[in-house]
Amino acid sequence: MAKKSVLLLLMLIGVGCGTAFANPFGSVVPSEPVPEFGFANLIAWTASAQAVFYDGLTSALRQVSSSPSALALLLGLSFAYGVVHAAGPGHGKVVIGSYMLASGETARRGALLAIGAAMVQATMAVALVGLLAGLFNLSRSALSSTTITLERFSYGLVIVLGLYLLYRAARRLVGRKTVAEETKLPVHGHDHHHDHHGHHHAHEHAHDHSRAHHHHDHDHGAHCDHVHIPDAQSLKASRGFAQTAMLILGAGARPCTGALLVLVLALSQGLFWAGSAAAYAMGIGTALTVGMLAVLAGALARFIDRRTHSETADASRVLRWMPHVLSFGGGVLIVGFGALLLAASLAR
Amino acid sequence: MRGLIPALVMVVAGVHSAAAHPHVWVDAEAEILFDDSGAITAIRQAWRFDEAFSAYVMLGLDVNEDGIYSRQETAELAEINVTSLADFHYFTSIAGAQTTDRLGDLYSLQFDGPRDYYIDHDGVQATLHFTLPLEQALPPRAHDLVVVDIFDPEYFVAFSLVEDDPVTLAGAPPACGLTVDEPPELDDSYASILSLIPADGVVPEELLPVTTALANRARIVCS
Repeated sequence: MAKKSVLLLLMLIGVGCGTAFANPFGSVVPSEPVPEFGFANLIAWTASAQAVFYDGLTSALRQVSSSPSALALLLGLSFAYGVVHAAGPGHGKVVIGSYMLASGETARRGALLAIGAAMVQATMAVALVGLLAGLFNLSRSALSSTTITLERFSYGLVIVLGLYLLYRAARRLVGRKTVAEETKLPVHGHDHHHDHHGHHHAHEHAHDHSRAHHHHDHDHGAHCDHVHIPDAQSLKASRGFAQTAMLILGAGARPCTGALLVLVLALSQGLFWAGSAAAYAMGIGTALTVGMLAVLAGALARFIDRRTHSETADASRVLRWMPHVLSFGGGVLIVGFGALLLAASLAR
Repeated sequence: MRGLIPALVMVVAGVHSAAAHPHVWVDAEAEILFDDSGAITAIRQAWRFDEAFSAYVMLGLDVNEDGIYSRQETAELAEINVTSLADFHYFTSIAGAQTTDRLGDLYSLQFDGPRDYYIDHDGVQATLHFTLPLEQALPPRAHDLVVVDIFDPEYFVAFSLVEDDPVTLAGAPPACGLTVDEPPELDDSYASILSLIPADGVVPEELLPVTTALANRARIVCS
């Protein structure tokens, strides 16, 4: 019975995918692929910080059941690790930061997105170790291959999200609309949208603004053409939801290696609860760093957008193009980053 | 989408996984085995892994769930370990040298396949035991000294020696003496440089003095 469910689970998570990367002992917890764009010094710094963290963490964990101060130390170190780790080359920061530039979301929403992604990431780590290792007593290879599967899923989502942002940016460009205009666009409850012409999306939306045509973005996976959209408000909401889900899962579906290590170590000592607490403390640290970055990026994008509009009359050409540059640049960054990471993961 | 993947892989020269070295910490212990003629025939080692790596490799191995990892339960892991280590020359080298030789230039003798390998677990840490027979016995008297190094030049594994008697001689002629050099603590700038070596990377020549300085080295002199 237990065997059967394990088997089913293995099939679901695609355990066959490659963990056969050369390493001296046959297997280590797979670490996140790291792109090298002159991040070198930052990576090296986090690497030595990681060693310090590791020593403190193992000793704190060893004493956690006997001393309450060890728990405080464990959580403090984990939180610090989260802050530091997020400052390293992790992809969540790049994805959320670029998204904020490209999407014109508010800074407050950026902070919420960062928190959401970090909490999802911590939950993924706890669930992964708790289920595979704790409940099903599976081996390291199941943990590694599931991590790699999640990683590929997450990078794939990042690419899809980036393409979607690019698509929206292209539509805005053709329609000569900027982020702010699009968000201010009046919403008509009776607005219908038909896409039976098979037109290129770009053409299709090159309509005159005065017709108050509602802009409807296609999400190729989720919607099909010829669908009546009865309520633009709810469409907008569901579009927002899909985008948010893609972003949060794209940034957070792959549990961080540090959290996996803490959880596995804690589990081996019968302290899974402490490992879980540590994983969430890491998540809070990550949320802090990434959240601050998201707020900054969001504020920057808004600032540029507002400036562009307050001085439309005499704004320079460059200034007028800035929002488009941001939208495209952010999208390109996200697609490129996701593609690099996915390729690195596939090359494992 | 799938057609894109090979193209992406080609673009990706600049990306690699696993940049933050080291990944595994090992406390090593070695015993140099001599035969009756006074020649070195094998190196017997015990490598104790750090707690996190131990916890990770032991996942799911306690098949009968009695809280103990029996040698039977860890047999497959031990096999995988020594098999994988072959590609890394077991992080061990042994060579006869003259005092005038530059130690970094010594070329290690070859080993036969490892034997007597198994894994112990003390409840917290796993220890891999294995014996490396030399393809050809090495008579120390034919050289000024014999040098045994245990280290990973790529620093994927950080080796250090156990505190008490990390290296011992078993069955050595009385004339043989042993000195053990532990590398200096790795300073931060070395750590930074080494952490940049990719998991599958080759240590650039200019870094060899740095990595060689990290070797745990035993020198055996039989005068």
